[in-house]
Amino acid sequence: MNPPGPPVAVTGLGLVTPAGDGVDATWEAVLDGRGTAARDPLLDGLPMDFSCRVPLGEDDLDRRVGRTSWRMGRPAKLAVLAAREAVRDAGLDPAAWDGSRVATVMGCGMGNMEQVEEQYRRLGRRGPDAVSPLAIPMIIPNLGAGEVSIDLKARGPNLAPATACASGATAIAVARDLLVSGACDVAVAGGVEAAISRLSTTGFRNMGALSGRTDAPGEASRPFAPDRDGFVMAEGAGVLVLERVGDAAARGARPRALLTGCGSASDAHHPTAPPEGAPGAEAALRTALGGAGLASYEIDHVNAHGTSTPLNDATEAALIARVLPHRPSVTAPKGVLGHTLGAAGAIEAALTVLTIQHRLVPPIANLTAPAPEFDIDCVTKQPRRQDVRAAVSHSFGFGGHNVVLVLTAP
Amino acid sequence: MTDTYAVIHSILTTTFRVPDHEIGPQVTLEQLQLDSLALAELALLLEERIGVKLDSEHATRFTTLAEITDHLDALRRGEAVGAP
Repeated sequence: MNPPGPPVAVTGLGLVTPAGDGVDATWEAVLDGRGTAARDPLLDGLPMDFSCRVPLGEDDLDRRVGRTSWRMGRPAKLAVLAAREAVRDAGLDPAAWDGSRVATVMGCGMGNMEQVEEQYRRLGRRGPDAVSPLAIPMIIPNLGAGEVSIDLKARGPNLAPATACASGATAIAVARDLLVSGACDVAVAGGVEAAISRLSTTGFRNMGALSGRTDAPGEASRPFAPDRDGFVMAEGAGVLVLERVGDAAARGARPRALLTGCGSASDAHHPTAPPEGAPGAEAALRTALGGAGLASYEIDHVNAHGTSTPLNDATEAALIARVLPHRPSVTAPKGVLGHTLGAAGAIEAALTVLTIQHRLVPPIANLTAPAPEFDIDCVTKQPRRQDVRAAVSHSFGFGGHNVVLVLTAP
Repeated sequence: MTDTYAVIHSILTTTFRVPDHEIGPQVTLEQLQLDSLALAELALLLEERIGVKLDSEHATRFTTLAEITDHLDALRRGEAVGAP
């Protein structure tokens, strides 16, 4: 078990999600607790033809990103907008900071799948000369991190962790290590995913991971519900600005919350299924608690990974009931947002920070009562006012990646 | 009189988001902040729109939009075009 480590301050947040453009819009919609999934024209004619999209068209995105948008794929654009918001929120100015001391860590699980397909279609139909010279920079999964670093003139370490659906949480854990080791003074950390495509959606569908509620997409994502049947594809970006507590205090920045513990552990078991009893997830949770120097009963709130798949939610509910038997409140933002894959861990870390700050736990969309066999306290129907001093956020990814973050009130 | 210049102008303002007031016949590609990757993409978009291929020899940092227009118009008339 890790000895407790120094906390780091969360001084800025940025979000671009299916619930809205920006932190405030997203927070309000998540509190509202309604699913954002809708029919997706890109998926026309497929057996699963709905998704959760960021409510910004390509032209809106380009206008917001500005002059460099021509070379970016959708993931990089979302990442840049979320990162700008987070840095502005932190009261930092990229024109004034020492960029060599700023790290960029943006997790991404997949990359720009839509462009893979578009460019492959051009190759097949019109030949090699029709493939865009931008194909590679638009497709590779690290260009969210790359374009954020360029946009912010952040010249410190720059990484794009790929731990599938835990990528955003891994990025935050890595960023904390970079701060604690002294490799940077500011870390712009989060996750991005814009990988909705005909192929990726069909691939997830054929492995049995997606909800089949094509007749009522808005009700499809229902974490912990007895009749849940899979997750919903989504896109988005979430970014946190992290600094050492002393540095934030020295410049007069008030932390929104503290990141006090991070736990990462592997299942070493199966590419896509958790082992019986989820020992990897439990190890990540216990390591995070140990790192934060907290006993399990001190956790007031759980931001669950809660994908709405039968297996994840059953395994995770059992984990929460076993390790945190005092029934902390549980929410699962994927009911509203769908599953933003590599961005989810960062978006949900940001929402957990907001829960601590506003003393409000968002309800789980489409859930009236959790499955009867789950002994956990799910928040349903409306936000719950609650003092949250310490919360955990769970992220689990294909590949057996388990990451848990502990966030506490400053 | 062809629409070549208008097509170039339209690609610059829409795809590359160059402000209208920065664009003019005597402006060079470098002045428009178009790097080699941007020029390769510009060539592809032009070929899609007007059916002729702008090769890199005729689109250097110092080439003006008027020169590109003349060159593409010559290609569109089917004239053999040598090195600049």
